[in-house]
Amino acid sequence: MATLEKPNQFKVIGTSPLRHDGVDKVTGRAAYGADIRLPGMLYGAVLRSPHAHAKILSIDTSEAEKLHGVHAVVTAKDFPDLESKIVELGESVIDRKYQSNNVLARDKVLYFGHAVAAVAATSLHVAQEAVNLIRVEYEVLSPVLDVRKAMESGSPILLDDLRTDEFGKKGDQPTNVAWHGHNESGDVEKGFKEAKFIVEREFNTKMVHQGYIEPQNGTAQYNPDGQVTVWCSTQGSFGVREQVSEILEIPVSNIRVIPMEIGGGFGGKNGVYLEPLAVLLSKKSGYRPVKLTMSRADVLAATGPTSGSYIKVKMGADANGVITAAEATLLYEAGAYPGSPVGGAMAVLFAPYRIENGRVDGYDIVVNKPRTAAYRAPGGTNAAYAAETVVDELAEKLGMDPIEFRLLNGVKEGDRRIDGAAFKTIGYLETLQAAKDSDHYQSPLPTGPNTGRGFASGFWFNYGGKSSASASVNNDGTVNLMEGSVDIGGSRTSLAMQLAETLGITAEDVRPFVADTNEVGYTEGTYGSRTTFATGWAVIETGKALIEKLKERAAILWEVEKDTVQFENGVFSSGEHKLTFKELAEKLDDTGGPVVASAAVQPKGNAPGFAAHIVDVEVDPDTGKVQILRYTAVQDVGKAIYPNYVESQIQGGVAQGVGWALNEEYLYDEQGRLLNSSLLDYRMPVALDLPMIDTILVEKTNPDHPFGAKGVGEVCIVPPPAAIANAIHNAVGARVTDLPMSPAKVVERLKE
Amino acid sequence: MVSLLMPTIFIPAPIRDLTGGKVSVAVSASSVREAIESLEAEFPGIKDRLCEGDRVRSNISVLVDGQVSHLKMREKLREDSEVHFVIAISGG
Repeated sequence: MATLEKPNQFKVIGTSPLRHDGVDKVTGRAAYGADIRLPGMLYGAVLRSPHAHAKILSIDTSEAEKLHGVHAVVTAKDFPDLESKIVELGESVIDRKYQSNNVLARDKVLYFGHAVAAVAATSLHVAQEAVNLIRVEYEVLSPVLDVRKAMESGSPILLDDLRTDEFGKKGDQPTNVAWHGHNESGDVEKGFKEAKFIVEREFNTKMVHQGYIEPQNGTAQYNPDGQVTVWCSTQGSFGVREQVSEILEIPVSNIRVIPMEIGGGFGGKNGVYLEPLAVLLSKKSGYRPVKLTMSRADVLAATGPTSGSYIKVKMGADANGVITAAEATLLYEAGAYPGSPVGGAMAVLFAPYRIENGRVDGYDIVVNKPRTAAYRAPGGTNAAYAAETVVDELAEKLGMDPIEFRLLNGVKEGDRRIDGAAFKTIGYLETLQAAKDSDHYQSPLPTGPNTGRGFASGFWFNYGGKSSASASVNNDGTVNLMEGSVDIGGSRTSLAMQLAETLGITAEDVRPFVADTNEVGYTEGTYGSRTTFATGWAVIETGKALIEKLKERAAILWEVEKDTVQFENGVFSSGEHKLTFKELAEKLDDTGGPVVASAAVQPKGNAPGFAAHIVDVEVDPDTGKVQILRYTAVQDVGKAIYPNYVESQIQGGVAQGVGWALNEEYLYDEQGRLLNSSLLDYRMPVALDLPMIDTILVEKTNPDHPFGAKGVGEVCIVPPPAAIANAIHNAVGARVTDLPMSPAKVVERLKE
Repeated sequence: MVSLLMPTIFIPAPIRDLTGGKVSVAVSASSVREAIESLEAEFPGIKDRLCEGDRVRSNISVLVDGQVSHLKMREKLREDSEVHFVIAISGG
């Protein structure tokens, strides 16, 4: 890891202390959802659809209910019949009717693996046996598996009530197109006339899964007094509370959600799948706790992957290399219900470039596949794969170095996106320059036949959102920190560090604790690269509030006015009086007892991030196998609170991007049945597939955050497929325009 | 001295048919709510495209001076403010 930064002016920020949850994680003591054991607990199993598109004519659960050990069976008739209603869940919105129907199918199943019924029994084996006794009569319908076919007139319709939304205007005909977005600036036709070189290409990408290692799980206890407790693996406990509330029409005040440790999410654990089923099964089984866990096959078939897509991109540049026009059409699979990330894709696509004449159209299209969920910079990877490949080809036609071409056209503060919004402080040009100056880019390609180097950029917005924290001072000078953000990537420590920096103590003197929905104020989920930024902000404000209270205590102790008490570098002082934070903490009992503070924030200033990736590959022209030889990821990270974690985030994003680029895809047969629902057949990268991923952190401070932090966890997944595609082209001269760029596809393209 | 500056509202491409193709419009307004009301007075029908009842549509983000506004309709505007209505984005 290299860091381009000014000298670190902080004592704790920018260091890498031992993580607070490290011992629990490496000794296996950390408790995950599957570890839950409660007295009298029942085990649940879910019946899933064998069809991708079918009407449910009848469900007979009588034989299952008779089986010894079965305590409850739940079908659609046990769920409230909900009207369509948009619910805002922080950064995202859901239609509660669709969300409920995704948890358990009503009159239709819309994808292979769609849940149809659930059972609670004394053991998992009994529950699974009971599931096999449920008889469902289906009328099988033709599935719609391709976005372009889904748009054709006469295509089977998935949702009878769906009408196309075009910026507030609803269509009047049944359709599979849920949403059409359109951004435009300048005069696109004029721009293309001014171009000397024009590149136009079409791209296809497949549905891929986030690939978190821990499957979804949910345990619920429904009490006779209507109080509900849910234990689950989620990115956001408050989001689970709201969704369970909306789907089951239970007041949020009756629901307590306890987030367990989480084994990865990457956007895929924001929505609920099992939790409402567990709640209903608990209620129906006489208020016994019920635990549901998914198998890997369930995870792949029935939890949200991210969209496959069709993207068409056209860009033009003049003889000097200045981009004169760009346009694109993006068709994104939403899965069974609306909500693909095509909006994000539209904004990411050309964001790194100054484009006066631009037009982008995006379509959110339902198909008979699982409902898509967020996945790290949702929509951005597909979009950048298309745009950055075209940019590479334009640079090639101009005879320009790909980084020089981007430096010439790259955005800086004040430049506008195609949707008109202007960038504030950004670090794209600095990131490009760091990539250009890097040892990797300045080094020759590894020797050998069919080696090539590729480069690509990426952009992501990052997010702020609502966060809360509270803290109490212990009389040994340590501080207990309660915060509401689930710790996926080390946020306990990055938050503890921000409190420690504020209070002038060490990170080890802060005891961070991830609180449940009854213990801390509302906190949005760990998504949108927001936790270190926004929950960090809440923690800083909590620290400031503690300092004010401690100033009052020091004033009492020293018998001076509070406004004479100063606090600097962890030391309280007034005249000749002086006490460190720890020394003052020891005297709290003499000055009024415990000191606690809390804060809730919804900050602005969530600055976007840019990435620039360099990759060297070797292509075997006989087998089509692409070997990654060297990879360097350069990223505009703001002030790195915990540099080792920042590097880990980047390396993780690159590893996932490499899998997306080369191997991962959902394979369906013509009837829409998933063919590769195990990790033997769904090929994620392993250590042997990857070299050391080098990182360069470009620390352009975010002026709108107290410590200069910005989100870092998402933009790292945006460039890899494009960078690798450009490297393959550099190696063997073939432009591969379909993901994954599997050996068979590379060989096929080489034959053309 | 009376200021001649007024907030600038950028019109999203899908609803520029309502503004006769105008990309941006200067309005006299001290909040997003007033800006939308001013637009509606000049370009009837535009409020319905931006709002559901008294709220900005949930799939639209309001950017004021480049920052996502959490207050949306209630966000205050300066005389030189820029307001954009863009597609709401969610992250992973």
